[in-house]
Amino acid sequence: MLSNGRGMRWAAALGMAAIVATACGGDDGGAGTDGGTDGGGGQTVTLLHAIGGEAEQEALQQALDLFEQETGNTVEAEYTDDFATTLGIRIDGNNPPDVAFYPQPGALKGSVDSGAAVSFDEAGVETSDLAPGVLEAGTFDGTAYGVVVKQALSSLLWYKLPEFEDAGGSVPESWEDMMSVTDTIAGSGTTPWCIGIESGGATGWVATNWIEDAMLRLHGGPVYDQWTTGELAFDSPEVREAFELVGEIFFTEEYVLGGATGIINTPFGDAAAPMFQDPPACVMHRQAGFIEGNFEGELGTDYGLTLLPPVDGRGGAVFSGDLAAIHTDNAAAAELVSFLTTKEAQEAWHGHEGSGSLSVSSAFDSSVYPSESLAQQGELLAGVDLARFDGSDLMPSAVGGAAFFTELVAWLNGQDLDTTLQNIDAAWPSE
Amino acid sequence: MKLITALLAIVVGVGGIVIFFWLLNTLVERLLPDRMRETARPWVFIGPAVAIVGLYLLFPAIDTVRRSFMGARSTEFTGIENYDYLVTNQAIRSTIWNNVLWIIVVPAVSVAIGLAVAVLADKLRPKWENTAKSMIFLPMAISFVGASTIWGFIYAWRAQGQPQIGLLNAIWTGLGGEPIAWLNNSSYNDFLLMAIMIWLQAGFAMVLLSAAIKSVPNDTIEAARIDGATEVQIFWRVVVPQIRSTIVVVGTTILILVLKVFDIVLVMTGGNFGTDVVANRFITELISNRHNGRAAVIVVFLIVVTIPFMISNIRRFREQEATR
Repeated sequence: MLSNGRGMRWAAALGMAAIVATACGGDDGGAGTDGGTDGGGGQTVTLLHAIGGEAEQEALQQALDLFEQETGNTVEAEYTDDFATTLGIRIDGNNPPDVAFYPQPGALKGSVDSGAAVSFDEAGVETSDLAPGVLEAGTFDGTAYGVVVKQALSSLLWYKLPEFEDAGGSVPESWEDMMSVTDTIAGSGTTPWCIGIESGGATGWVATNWIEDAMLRLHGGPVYDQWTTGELAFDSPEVREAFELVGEIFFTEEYVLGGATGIINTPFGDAAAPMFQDPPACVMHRQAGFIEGNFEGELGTDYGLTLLPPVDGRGGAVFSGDLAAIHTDNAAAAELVSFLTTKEAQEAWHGHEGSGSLSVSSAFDSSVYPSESLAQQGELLAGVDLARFDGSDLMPSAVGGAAFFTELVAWLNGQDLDTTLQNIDAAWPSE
Repeated sequence: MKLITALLAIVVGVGGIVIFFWLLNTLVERLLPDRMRETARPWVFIGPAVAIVGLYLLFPAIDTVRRSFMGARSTEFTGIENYDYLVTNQAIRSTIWNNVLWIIVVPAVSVAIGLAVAVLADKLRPKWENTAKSMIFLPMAISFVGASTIWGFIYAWRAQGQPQIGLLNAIWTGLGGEPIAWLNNSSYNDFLLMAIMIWLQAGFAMVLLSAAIKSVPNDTIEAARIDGATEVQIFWRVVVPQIRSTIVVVGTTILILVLKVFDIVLVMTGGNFGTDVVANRFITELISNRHNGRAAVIVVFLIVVTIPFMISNIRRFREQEATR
């Protein structure tokens, strides 16, 4: 059969035609990664991000569309739900995205150390007026490599109305206040707190936020910075104090729904649901703004919102977000990053209907936010001078993405505090 | 445009391979003298496949062994430091111990259940036999992650007073108990996870063992019956010895699969509560800790442990083929 000359000739011809067609057709999809070095419109910027959710992506697109209109450049945005792996593969494969939105500064530091990230000075990025802590989060050894362009406030205390007040609670002005409110509510027969940290392979991250809030309030900015950069060990009096402060709530059986077992086994997304049962099984919940999407009812009527209170007069905010960083010498990439920090871009993005994030621009007008809750969060954030990025995201991923989580889970499951702190320290990479 | 590109890729890919082999064959016919033709031809056909396998399997394997002697970013040589870490680190040792438990329990129980079902189903009428077997075999179609999600709803825990969405806890609280966080208890949570794997693999064991049982010559069983043996004696003394090699092959195949398990552990507990296994640890080292050296040493460990079983598997398989 193979030696049937005529059949094989046709097959060969077809094969050649197919190869030629594929070669010509392949060009369409390949553009975009070889951006030229002269700006002035017409450039393509590739963007890799981990911002999921239809509403959020639509909101981001508003800012990108505005950029395209104003500069004539094109942005090719690519979403990935496994940012670390995708970015790692792209960088290792010598095909990095021009701009990437890092969900963790620790990951950005990794790129800086390996030489993949370009500093803002070198790229020519100019940032506009920014909220506290936002540029610092992307600055390493005094050089800026990334800037937060979208943030979420983590240190929020949500409470159920009117049951919270009926049970004797009032909006706490201080941490001590919050503990006595907790006690009062527990005494009235209702369980005060709902806490859930289960999250599959990342179980434990919610608890790290509690510890970070405690650290910031107990010891202030500089000590927090020492802690997240590894200068201050976990097994130290300061960090121990933070763990013990938080432990007062976690380990008191009557304070938390389900006790410590409940904390470990309740998925973080479901954790607040008992607040909306009839009658509510708990009335207080600490979580970032996104959790409101799971709430029922209205802000002000069915639930209230405040910032986690200060300790001894020192208040602060822990936020998380995405940092924009540059990997190539594409001039349009620097233009995009600069643009995204402007009031205009921020308002188009975070003011868009359905967006749930907060702006990083200090000139931002809170009334532009699409919801009352975001406006209130914006006000709370604006009223705070001490703000730091989520600590576990600042630490190297061996700690902040692994050991910190797993040891907290072990601690809640009965492991003693000493072993917990020492294990986390042991996981800190030695280089 | 992408659709057309995809179609063209298929045509070029398949057509290209056909043309490639046809060309090689023609070369063998035209260029080589008669004597060499038939010896060369198999090599020519196997050659490209072996070359590709060599490139994509052997080369990375050798590179991994090389990296196991190097540091976190594979930039400096660190000797046996990573091997030392493997042996002395407490967390890794308990992880390896978990793997040992998995290796002992899962193949044994899967084979036992598979064998039991195969034997019992054999005695049913054909229609019922097929139904029973299909039901046991069905879980094989589910991915490990899918199975873990399903079993997640069996082990799920909710606080006392809340509606119990986990099957076990629903039964337990229905009987009057307080909900138990099954997966948090490190004395038995390993076995709960193994149950998932057994559920998945028992069907595979059953299918192979059923075929083996059916191929046991009826004369031997008849002869034993005439001699007055009970069914149980027939099973243990006549049937099992004759399917021994199949049992071993099934057992080792499942064992090799067990060594690779990580998705079940990752989805169910994330490796917490003392359930971590070596393959999951590999992911932690590679992606979270970004330590190439330690990740490589774990892979080397897995390869070394797997080799004896693979060798035995292949030997048994050859023996079986030889006796056919």
